[in-house]
Amino acid sequence: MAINSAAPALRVGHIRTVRRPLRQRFGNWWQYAVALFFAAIFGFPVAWMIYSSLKPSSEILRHIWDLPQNPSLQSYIGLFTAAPMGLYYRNSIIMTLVSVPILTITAAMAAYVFARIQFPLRTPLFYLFLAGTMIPIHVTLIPLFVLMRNIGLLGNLMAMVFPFVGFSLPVSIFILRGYFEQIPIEIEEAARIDGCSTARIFVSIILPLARPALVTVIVLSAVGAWNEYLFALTLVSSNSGALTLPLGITATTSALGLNKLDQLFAGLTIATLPILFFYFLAQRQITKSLTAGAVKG
Amino acid sequence: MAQNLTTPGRAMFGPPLVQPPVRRQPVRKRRIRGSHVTAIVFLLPALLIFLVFVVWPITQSANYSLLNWDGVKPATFAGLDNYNKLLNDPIFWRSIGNNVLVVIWSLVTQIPLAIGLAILLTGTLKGSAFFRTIYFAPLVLSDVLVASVWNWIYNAPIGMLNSFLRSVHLPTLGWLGDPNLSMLCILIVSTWRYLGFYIVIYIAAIQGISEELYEAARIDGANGWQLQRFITLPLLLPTTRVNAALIMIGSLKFFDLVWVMSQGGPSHSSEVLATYMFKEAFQIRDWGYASAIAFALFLLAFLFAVLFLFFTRRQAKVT
Repeated sequence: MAINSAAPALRVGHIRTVRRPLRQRFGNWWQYAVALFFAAIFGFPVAWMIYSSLKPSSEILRHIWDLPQNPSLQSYIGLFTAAPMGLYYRNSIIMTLVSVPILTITAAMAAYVFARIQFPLRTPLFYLFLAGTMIPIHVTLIPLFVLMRNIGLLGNLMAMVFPFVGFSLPVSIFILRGYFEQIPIEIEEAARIDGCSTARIFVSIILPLARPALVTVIVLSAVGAWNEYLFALTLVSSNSGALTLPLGITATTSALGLNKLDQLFAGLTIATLPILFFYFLAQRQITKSLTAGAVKG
Repeated sequence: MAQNLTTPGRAMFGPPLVQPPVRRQPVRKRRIRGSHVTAIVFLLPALLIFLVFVVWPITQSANYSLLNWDGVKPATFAGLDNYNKLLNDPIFWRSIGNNVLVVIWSLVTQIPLAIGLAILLTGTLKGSAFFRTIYFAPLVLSDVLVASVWNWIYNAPIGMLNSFLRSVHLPTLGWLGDPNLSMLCILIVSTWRYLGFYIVIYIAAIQGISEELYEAARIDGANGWQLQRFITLPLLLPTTRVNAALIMIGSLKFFDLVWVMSQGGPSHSSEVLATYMFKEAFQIRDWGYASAIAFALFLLAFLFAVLFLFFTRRQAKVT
């Protein structure tokens, strides 16, 4: 019953140094039980995917739960001939490296205007962008398909860049504008008296000071671009040479049958490990970024 | 909102009743009065991208929804035929029902679980950082990957769940292949996938609650349960409201998991608006009708947006 009963005592621990009785210290065993239970639920599917890739297909079919009897990387060798994971990776990297800078720069410039520069249409335009956070992407799919078909970009990796940027602009602008407004305006006024132009102030003063917010936007949009599925499915998937990782995963799944289950799990694992690696390196920053739009919105 | 999360006290109690005697200057944010040219140049790239790739397609969708068009042959004007068909389409209503189900399921599972786990993780539990790392991991995985892994958990002939049921001599289930279970299976995965998101938000909110409130309550003799019940929970209410709005808006975007796990099937049992629209557009190729579904989706989003603004406006005034 007593959730967290000792928490406040711990928080003011620097005042109260009395050792709590043994019973109280171990009295929260059930908290560990709950925490471990959920850790198993969240962690197991991913762990299972990884260790399944170390088993041969026949073993997966017979003992789907079990740890591998003789762990081997054989499946990965087979995968390289079965599925062009390298190509999927290359395409996802290109897509991310092209869209994230475009998004960050254009969003920062617009956010600066909304934070600082007075002009007639400012408020209506800001609300226009704000409304963009609510729009389901699907509303735009057919017109975007027609547009890309007309300009001959259908099946080209670049077809998904600008729609992705467009839909990521609102939340990015929102995060950056909030941060820009916190920067003391006196710094800018001083620079202006020294003869700095607005562009110069933006590049040399605002952007360096807003680094935390820029990092947030970059991480948020990089994860978004890396995982983007809907635009890829609609605008790119007709060209097998331009598949990004999410499309590659589904293509691999349907290409490999039950007798190549091991390679399938190897493919899923290869698609996951790098992003999990980054996540373990910078978990705090990444979770903060992923929820930044929500907390501020 | 960020302000509001860190000072829930102010949000609760409003401005002090006794105003300071000195009349304060009205609070106005100072802004640079640069030339309009600078503003336009700075705004133009973002605005162009947004207008061309977001705003213009929405208006086009509205246009297309009045057409009879397969995307190849010349279109003919259909008036409101597509909308008429929409209102009499049982699959459309079934999809809306499933979208509503997504909202209800998320409200009922995500919010209580997220609050409970956030309280647990901000408490005395040692190794909280370890648990957080595991709980939040699904957030960085793509929906496609998550769905692909869970497909093998649910897989009827060889999947984990049926393998377990067989080993304890229980009858196996169809899971994603069973029209009565498919939606539930997908909803469970969506909770698995997104719970961490709401836990993060609640953790931020709990850490923003002033320690003094807990101390005062403890002096008054409150026990641990009462501290959570009468301080934490009420002060999380604004956050819950925001999360509820996010769930509503997010439900309309619900697509990836369904598409990879069941494509809305079997027999439309897990169809949501987004998958139905996608099917009509890119499999059946009825672009006029698909655009009508898309525009209905847009109108619903608009309705939710208005509700969202209504829910959060009061707090915006306080901060």
